[in-house]
Amino acid sequence: MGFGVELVLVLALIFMLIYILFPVGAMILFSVATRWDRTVWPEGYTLSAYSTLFRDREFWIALYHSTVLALTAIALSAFLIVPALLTAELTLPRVKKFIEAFSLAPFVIPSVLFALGLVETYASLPIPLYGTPVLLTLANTVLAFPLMYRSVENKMHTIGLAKMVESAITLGARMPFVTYRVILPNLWSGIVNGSLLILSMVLSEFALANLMVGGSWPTLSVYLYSVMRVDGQAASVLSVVSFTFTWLLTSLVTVGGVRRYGLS
Amino acid sequence: MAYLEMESVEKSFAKNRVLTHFNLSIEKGEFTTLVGPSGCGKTTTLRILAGLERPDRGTISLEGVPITDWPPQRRQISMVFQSYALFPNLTVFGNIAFGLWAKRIDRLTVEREVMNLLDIVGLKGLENRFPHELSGGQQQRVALARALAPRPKVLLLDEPLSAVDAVVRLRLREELKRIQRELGITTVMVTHDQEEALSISDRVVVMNGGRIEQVGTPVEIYRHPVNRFVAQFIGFSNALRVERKGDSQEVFFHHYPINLPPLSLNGEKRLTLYVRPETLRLHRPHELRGREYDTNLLPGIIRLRAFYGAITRFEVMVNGEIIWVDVPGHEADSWQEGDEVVVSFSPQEVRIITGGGEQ
Amino acid sequence: MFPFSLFCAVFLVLPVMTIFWRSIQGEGTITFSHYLFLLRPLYLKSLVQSIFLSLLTAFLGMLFGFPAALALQHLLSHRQKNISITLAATAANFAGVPLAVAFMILLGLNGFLTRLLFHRGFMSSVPFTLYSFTGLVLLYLYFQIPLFVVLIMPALEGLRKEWREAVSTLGGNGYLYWVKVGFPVLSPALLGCFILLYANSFGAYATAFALVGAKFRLLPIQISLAVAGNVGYDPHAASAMAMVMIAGLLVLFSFYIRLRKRFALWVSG
Repeated sequence: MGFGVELVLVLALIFMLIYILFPVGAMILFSVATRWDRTVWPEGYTLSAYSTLFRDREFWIALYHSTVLALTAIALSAFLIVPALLTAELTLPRVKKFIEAFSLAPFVIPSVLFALGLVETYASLPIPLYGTPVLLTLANTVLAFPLMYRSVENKMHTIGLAKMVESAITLGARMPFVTYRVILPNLWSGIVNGSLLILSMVLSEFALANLMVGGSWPTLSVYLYSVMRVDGQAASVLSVVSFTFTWLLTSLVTVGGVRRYGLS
Repeated sequence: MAYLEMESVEKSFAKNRVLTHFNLSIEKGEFTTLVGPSGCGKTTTLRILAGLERPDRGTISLEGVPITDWPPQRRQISMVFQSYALFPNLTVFGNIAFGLWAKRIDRLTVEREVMNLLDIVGLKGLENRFPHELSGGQQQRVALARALAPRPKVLLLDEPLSAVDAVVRLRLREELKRIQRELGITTVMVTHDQEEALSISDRVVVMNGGRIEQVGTPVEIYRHPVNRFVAQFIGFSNALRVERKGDSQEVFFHHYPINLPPLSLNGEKRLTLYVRPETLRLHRPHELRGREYDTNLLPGIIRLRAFYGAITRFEVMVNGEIIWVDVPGHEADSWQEGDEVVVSFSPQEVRIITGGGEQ
Repeated sequence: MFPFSLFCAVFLVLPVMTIFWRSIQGEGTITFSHYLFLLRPLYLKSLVQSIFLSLLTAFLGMLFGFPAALALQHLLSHRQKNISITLAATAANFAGVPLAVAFMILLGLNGFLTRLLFHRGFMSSVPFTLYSFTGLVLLYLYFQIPLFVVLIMPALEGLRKEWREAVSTLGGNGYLYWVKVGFPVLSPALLGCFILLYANSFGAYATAFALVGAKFRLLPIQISLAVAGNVGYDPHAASAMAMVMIAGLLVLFSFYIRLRKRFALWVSG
């Protein structure tokens, strides 16, 4: 590569990094400013917005809702996907295509459409699911499928779990023992990776939460949306927390080696 | 001055020294093979010749011109990579034509040259296939044709046959040799397969730990290894640790006397004799009655026989040590596991390496 | 296996089938008239606007993301690369409400940059407002550019060093390598990533909604209005729009899978 080309590449990279960091920087500055609407730089600095937020009961309620949502989605998706994937891999390889198709379908269906489908289906049914957090939880679980599927499937393949299980069986081990001593310990890091991705996804999920339950059972992002209208600084504090959290989870996952998307 | 020369070349990666004071000269039209265990620096040598790696010290010259600082593009040295590195987006034609495109040669000439090369490597009719539509052997031929297309002064082959299966490998080996002869192109090949090195080359360079152990024709290397490493790496050898009594020429393997060809032994007490299994012979003990006190006779028991097709290899236990004996064809049929035998060998077939006994 | 299938049937297949059913449900009969709604100016405009926004941000995401990814791969140390990729992956996932908040603070009516550039006399008038189509494009690029980088990285890592070396021993320079080998080999991956970016923005709802509410009638926002049960929004028309979106995305994804296979074949074979 010539010098000119390298220069263009470096400039593109710097542009991207600035594009990423600049709004975040402004957001952080705004969240610790006493007042920042008349001057170029903040007039003073304070952490009071943070302490106000953390003393807000509604924040904790929203956080509680989001956490419940995330943990349920993680548990459900793991319990549904891991056994299905294992059975398919070990006994019915042809079924695996279907599992893959269903697991990755939420990639194709935008969450707004998904919300539409669920609302149209369950609003008219006589069972009391529509508008409840339960339906929201189940919907989030479906959105979590691709993340759990990819992490676990990836792990399963890189370690060659099928061969491992087969050799354990030929050594005379029974299935419960194999599950407990071979499958779970080896898949564990894949499940953890998937869980981190789901946590990050659910905590920032807005479309389903806003359209399916809205203000009656606010999650973090719905709460943020309502705060944003009233108090810009509180919103900036929440956004800083959100960015930091996404960043932490992402570093954990990239260190673990699994990417959310990926071409190969 | 030789056609292609490497003079006191040194190369390290990080703190790891890969080549140490490396000298090599190659004549025009010669087929030279670098052979050695993995990590001995043979691939690095090839990459230095190609210009893909810069030596830390030393010079490389081609036709008497120093090319050490030349980029690969300028050297007119082609390389066939171990993984072939065929361009997946180009057809067989495009791959072979690549070096000609780089030279901005006109279309008609390119077409003629490529067709000619397809003929040479036996791939006529496949010019519109993509690499992933070809078998391993065919991919190998494309890689060869691609490297030959720009008419390089030197052709480098990095383990060119390691990725194809055994049957195809033998056929490709013959063909490689034939093409090299026909074109008379100076060729340097790297392999870890000593049999491949012996069968295909005009000259073999045995390398170990970044140094050259021996350079010579295949026959020289096989029959007259200069040190223990070469004796053990090239072909298969029995290593007999023997002891010398006094200053006589006579040495003993355990208590069996062994007669050696006359040579100066420099007062060494412990020697290792290297004997190829195919130079040993098996006898029934009764055939040798009355000759029990002759030299070079080692009585033992056959522990294992392994059928290799052309030969059968017997594992003979002599005083707790194993000696391998190869017997050709039908001769082997009369020997069974458990037979008492006597192993004999002629003094001319023994390679003596002095010093130590450990392998 | 069974619980998984049941769960998918009830919470994935059934909702999609309901959408399909609503989209063709007439009064006692089956009708395709709901699809004709899409030809009304309001809906047609939202379809065009959604497609235009997605194409534009996917294209710009590729335009800026590809050179940035090349710089990451070829010019940075392993450590620098890892840090940058983590940052890019974070930004790619940082969409929706908090992103809108961040940009309002930076570029809103009284945002930091707005004050800096306009109010201090660098410019006399305000030629730009964040609450416009241009502003939306800027927000989308915040996650589209890094998303492209994260997506194309494995493909760049898949380009084999030997190809470059083979080109150089055959007498070709870096330019020839990129024109004849590097770029053509990458092209299915580039197109595949473009498709993913397009789909990512085509279905996005939260970012635009958080920034300007229902001001921009992008398709997902149109549909969301029907979900929320707003008066005057017909679930049948929404379902018809949803079906069109799903069909479009399915076509794109099947194309994406073909491209992915092609690339995998090239890089491994």
